[in-house]
Amino acid sequence: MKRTAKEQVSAYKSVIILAVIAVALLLIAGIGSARAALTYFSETYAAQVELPDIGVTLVENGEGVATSNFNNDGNNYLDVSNNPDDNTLGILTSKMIPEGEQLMLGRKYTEQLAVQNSGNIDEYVRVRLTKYWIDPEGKKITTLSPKQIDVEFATGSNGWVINDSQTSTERTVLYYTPILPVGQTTPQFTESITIDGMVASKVTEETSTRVEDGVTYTTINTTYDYNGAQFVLRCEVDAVQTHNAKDAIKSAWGVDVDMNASTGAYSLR
Amino acid sequence: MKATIKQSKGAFIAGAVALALVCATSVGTAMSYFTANVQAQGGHTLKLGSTTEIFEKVVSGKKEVQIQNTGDVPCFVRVKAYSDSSHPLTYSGQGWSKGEGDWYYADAILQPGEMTPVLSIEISGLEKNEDFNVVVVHESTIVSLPDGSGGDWSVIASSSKKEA
Repeated sequence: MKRTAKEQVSAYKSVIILAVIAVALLLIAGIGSARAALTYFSETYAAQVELPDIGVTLVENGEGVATSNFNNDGNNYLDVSNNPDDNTLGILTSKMIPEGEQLMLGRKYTEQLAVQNSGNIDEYVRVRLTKYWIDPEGKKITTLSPKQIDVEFATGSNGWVINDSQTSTERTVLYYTPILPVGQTTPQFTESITIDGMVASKVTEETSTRVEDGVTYTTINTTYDYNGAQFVLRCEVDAVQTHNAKDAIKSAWGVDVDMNASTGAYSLR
Repeated sequence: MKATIKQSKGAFIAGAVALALVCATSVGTAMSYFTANVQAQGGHTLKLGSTTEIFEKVVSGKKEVQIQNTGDVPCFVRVKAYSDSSHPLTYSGQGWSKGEGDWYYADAILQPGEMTPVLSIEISGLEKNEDFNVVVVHESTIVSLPDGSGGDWSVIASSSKKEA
């Protein structure tokens, strides 16, 4: 198995050639990055090509409650919301109940949600809407049904489509299938919210007696299971570029779509 | 000889790593898309804690009953009394109406803290100094309809029975 001197030289050559190729490949990668960095600071380049700024705003009853716009200059997102404590999480239903009133069972409260394109490129948008109950400490109550939080959706011919395969009692996923052009707002995807009167039938009874001055009192107290519970409506809006849409939607949202080449709209598979 | 083989292996590994790095860079570029995400949430607390308390006086063979809303939501109230057949009962009072099941219903919704008008329940056929036994039951239910009417009596918020 001993190699001849010629074979050894050949082996060394192979090693050197492979090492040179490895270094060259790494250098190519490095040069690519360096070139990108140089052009980034080039004024001429910036003037000729405008990098896209994607942005999206959630609109409730005609008012924006939360906005996130990509900022190319700082390479970050500019978030604005109606929440003084958190600019990344807007507040919903803040004006739902008239002042001085309480949440009433069975009353239909207006809750019209829509999405606005607040960026400077066209985009596709989808919405994930969740509803559930929490206790006074903010902990989720899994024993109370989200079904009793009745959200009336506005879908069908307005471009909004509910994806049943991603939807459950607690969560609804809606896709706006046409392109949402810059500055435009989608039709509303919800109309109202109602707390079903059925919650008043979920009770726990407790009987107690007391005697005062020889008189016996029997009291049956009925505790409503939903008493003190807070309903939560949570809305997440996702936007993605229209360029290379099929792959972009698959990558960003994990769903397969078919594109309509003439309208730019997509349909869920 | 062994050293040469090791060197060859090393070179192959270095080459493979370099290729992987280059490929990874390319894949990263291909999967970058412009996206944005925004979130909001909110909600309101449901208050269904209706509680009531009965107040009554016995004045010369007559019971005077009032109900107070001790909870923090408006409610409807109804009252019914029971006695033996030899002592029939007669109800009277402004703001009360006889309704389903021979209950007497307060006409107005009882707001938190409010007291109903007096409902008088007269006991007939009483002998002088005779002991009697009349049971008074009152029940309340929350205002569950959006227009402020209704009230589901199949679900009782609080119920109290007094024997005297």
